[in-house]
Amino acid sequence: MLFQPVENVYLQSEPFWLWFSSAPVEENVILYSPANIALSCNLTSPSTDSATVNVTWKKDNETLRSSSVTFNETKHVWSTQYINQMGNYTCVFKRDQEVKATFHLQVPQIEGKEHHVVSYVGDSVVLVCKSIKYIPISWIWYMSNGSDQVAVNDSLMPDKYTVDEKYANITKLKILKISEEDDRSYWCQAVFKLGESKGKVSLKVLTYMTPLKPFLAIAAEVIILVAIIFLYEMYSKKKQMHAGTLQGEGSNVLKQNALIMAP
Amino acid sequence: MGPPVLAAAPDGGWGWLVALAVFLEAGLIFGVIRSFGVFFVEFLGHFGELAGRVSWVTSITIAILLFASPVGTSLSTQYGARPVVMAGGFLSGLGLLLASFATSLTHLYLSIGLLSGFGGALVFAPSVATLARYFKRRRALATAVAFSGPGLCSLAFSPLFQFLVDSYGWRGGLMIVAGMTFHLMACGALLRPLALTEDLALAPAPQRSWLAKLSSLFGLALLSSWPFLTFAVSGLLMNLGYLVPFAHLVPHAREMGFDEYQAACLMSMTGATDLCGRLVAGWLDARRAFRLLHTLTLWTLLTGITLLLVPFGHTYPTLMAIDLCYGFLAGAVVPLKFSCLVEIVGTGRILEATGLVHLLESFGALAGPPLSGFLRDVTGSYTVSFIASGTFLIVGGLVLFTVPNFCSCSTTSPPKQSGDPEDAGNLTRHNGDHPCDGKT
Repeated sequence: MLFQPVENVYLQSEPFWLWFSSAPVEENVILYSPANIALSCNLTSPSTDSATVNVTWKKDNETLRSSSVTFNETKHVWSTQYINQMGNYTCVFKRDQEVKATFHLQVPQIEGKEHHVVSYVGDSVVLVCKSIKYIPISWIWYMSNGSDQVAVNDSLMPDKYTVDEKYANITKLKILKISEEDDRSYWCQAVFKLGESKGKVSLKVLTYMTPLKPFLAIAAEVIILVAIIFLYEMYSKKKQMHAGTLQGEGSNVLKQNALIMAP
Repeated sequence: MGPPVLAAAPDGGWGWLVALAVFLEAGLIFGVIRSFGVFFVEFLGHFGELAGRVSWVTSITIAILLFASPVGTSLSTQYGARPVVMAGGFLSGLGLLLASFATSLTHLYLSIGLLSGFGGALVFAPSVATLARYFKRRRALATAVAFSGPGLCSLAFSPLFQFLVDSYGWRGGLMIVAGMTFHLMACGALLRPLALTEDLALAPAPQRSWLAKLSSLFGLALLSSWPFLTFAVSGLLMNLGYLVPFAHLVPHAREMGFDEYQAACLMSMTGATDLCGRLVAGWLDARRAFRLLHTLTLWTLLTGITLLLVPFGHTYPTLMAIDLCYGFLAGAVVPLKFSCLVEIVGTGRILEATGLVHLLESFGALAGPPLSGFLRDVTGSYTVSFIASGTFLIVGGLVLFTVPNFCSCSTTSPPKQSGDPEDAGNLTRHNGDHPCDGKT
């Protein structure tokens, strides 16, 4: 769910339709820029006794002061909560049973790369993070140092790290002269107006020996195959020669006839 | 004692191993080229270059493959097919091995494009010629078996290459593909030379000037024949568009948001339907229900339309469906083209005609993917690239309408062949189903 960045207007979320005995519902709400949000939950009650339903709103498990407006219609209980902070908001309807729905308000999530990026000692590699729909204000790169995250300082070490920010929604970290120490995880942090989110890219550094071994194995196999083919051919030729000398004149006559018949 | 002289082609026996060898060769050369889209994406990321510049890698490879095939044929006439093919296999593998150490795109152009492309040219034409010598009655079946190679191999290679890239990066991946390509040498070893009595019948060619020899080798006289010329021009236009999906479908799919293996799967499915397309085309060829030229024109136009539809495949199932159609149509077009060429020039001159068509088509192959890449760089997506390549295919199909006697319902008789002893040799060596063009 995306809210357009318009100020001083309460943006209404799509209400969650609940009924008693339904499972808890959750939804991610992505906020790009500051806005006032109205979250709605709507209970459809099978009984007409809607007045006895108790509605509470919670932010991160803290009950909020009831600033919600409740409309009571027959068979429907409507509750709206006005908020202006990030967090997880839950509306709880309680009668004899309890049913709830949770809105997770968060900044746009950055996806890193699931699979590690492979590179070689002495080579260079480019790590990419993208935020396609939402354009962050800036990007910061971190690398893991043991269990900590240390910022990657590309101005201090310009011949090792280069950050390319040609487009605002794509960041590229180029790492030069890779060594085995660079085999770690990197995080790209996108700074939005309402907060930050990180994506993870991990780098795996190999030496040239790693693929060389399978290559040499395959090359050896090719040489063996070629040798087998040639040996088999020599063997079958020898057999033919033996058979030829045994047959002697017969085969020569056959060949001569073939030559004569050719125009 | 030399190899026994046989009265006629064996049509079996060792010939089936030769067919297997050509199957593997076609798979290792063209299957690899088709599945190269996986590496294309990696090159784009690593060298940070524009799609237009990276596309030259594939296009130079295919262009050199087509352009240098007469060299392969003439060398094998001189030294025999086996040494030439083994040398070609070695060069192909060496090119890919050197490419794994590349530090710039130019390095890739030279090692993959020039070296591997030239190696491929040395491998392919002589191998198919040898296959044609081993079979006479069953030649069509043997060629069909052999040319199912690229389709089946690209089925497996596309996800395999993605797996290699995931495990070893593109450098390690190229190294291992180089090792796979060295198997071309083993395939070459299988091409036992065959001496047929027909060879003894060839009278020694009269001494002629080297210009006359060259022109006869390349069949330049064919250029004066209008049907051949329009056919060749149509081939050139078609090649401008035909090769674009092999270069750019995987990057396009990745840009649309599909993950690595989904994109690789698209390419491998093309390989599967390519196989079906070839079988159907072979069946149509046998049936001769419609005039082959009409069938070719229709299928070329359909292929072009399918390419136009590629940018509109926004969901994975739609893109896969369009892709399957393309694979099927494109697979059928290749053998149809060859059969039409045989119809136009006759079996006597088919060797020179194929060489000449390859030569002209190599220019199309050289220009097609880089042009498409350039369009992508300029417009920001592959939409215009695919529309342009579809248009080239459609124009190529429309040019076929201008072949003389297009509208007649009966097949025209091929032009009279000169009484050249080389032609007699060609007739016996390559009678009937000679290899298709290099787009297999």
